[in-house]
Amino acid sequence: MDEIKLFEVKEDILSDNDEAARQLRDKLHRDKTFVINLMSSPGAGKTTVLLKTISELKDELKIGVIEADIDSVVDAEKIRNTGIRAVQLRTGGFCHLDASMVKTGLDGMGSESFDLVFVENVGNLVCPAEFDTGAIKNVMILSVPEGDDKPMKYPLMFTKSDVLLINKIDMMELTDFDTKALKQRVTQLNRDMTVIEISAKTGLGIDKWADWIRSAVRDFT
Amino acid sequence: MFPYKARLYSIQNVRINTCAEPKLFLSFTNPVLSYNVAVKLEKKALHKTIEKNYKMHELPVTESILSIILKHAEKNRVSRVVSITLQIGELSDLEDEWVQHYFDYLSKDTAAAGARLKIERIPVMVKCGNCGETTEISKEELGSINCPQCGTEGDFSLVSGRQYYIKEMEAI
Ligand SMILES: Nc1nc2c(ncn2[C@@H]2O[C@H](COP(=O)(O)OP(=O)(O)OP(=O)(O)O)[C@@H](O)[C@H]2O)c(=O)[nH]1
Ligand SMILES: [Mg+2]
Ligand SMILES: [Zn+2]
Repeated sequence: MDEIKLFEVKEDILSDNDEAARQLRDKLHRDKTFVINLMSSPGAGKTTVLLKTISELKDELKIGVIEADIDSVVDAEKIRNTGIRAVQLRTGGFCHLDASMVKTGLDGMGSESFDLVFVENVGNLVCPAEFDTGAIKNVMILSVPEGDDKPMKYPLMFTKSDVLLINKIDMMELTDFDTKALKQRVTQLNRDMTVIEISAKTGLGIDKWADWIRSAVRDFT
Repeated sequence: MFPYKARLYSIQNVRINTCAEPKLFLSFTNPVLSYNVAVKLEKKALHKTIEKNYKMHELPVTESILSIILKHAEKNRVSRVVSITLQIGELSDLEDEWVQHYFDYLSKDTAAAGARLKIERIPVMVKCGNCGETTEISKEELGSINCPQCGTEGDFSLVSGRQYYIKEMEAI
């Protein structure tokens, strides 16, 4: 009878993806293409925010969009109607995008000629937080109807994002959403996070968000 | 396979907020091999899957575990892997049961077939930006406590709790 021996493995399970993400980021730096990974629950307003953001910035920056819709081309069509290049990734029900999928999308659109590419990640606050997409910045949207307690339920997403957009502030009156409590929870998880309150419906706050992008793109290139 | 297809498409409208939508998990058309794996799971497992809010990213994670383990098995010239010890951060949303399920499926006919996965959970540790003390806290406390050392409100950075790590394996 052979005896059981112990072997040290000491390897990071996600190292392949992390490495792919790192390489992608290097390439984006070389190409000077600023990529924003946009994450939220389903329906928090990713596509609507994108549409508003595009109309604010499309005269200044060459913008592209990668859509990770689970199964439809609805969102990609909406983006294309604005005259912006949108690539639809077939995520096949994947719960998140990983770096190699994002790279496929970027290669598909010839991202090196773009200044700014948005990646609309799969609507989900859990899995996208775990997998580095290779994007330059991570932005999450939390919409007012979802409640101010989300940082407690999905802490990882909040620790991984650079910007939090609080969307649908036009609905504030209808809820007991406590912005101050939310901000407190957010700083406890991630004190470097920039919080911007917006309404993609009325356009309120979109100028601040566009300014954030302008200065981030400027710093990047 | 066809009977499955019919029933799986019938659950496509289930809305689940933790992970992806079920139907495509079971899609036949997906080019990536891993999705087909889920389709081939036992009927019982499928039912469980549906009940269990769809655990999806366990799949790529498990694939990655297997490929790393097989590499080490080959390097060490072992004939059979008996157990694998993982270290997973408390903040990582990974369900032990599902990782084992997928592993059992994926590892068939490999040196790692039948290996048992032991999962060690690594606690969440935060460092206070004011006093520099490192404290272990629960996932629930994240975002809602002051520094236990100096009382400063919410000035933490995360030092541990997101690990996805393979520590060791036992093999013959
Ligand atoms: N009142 C209000 N409604 C909004 C706002 N932003 C988006 N919506 C609405 O919310 C719904 C969902 O918006 P989408 O932009 O499709 O959300 P999404 O995150 O892209 O959704 P998925 O891609 O399906 O995950 C739509 O009916 C939007 O019109 C807002 O600021 N205020
Ligand atoms: Mg959308
Ligand atoms: Zn302190």
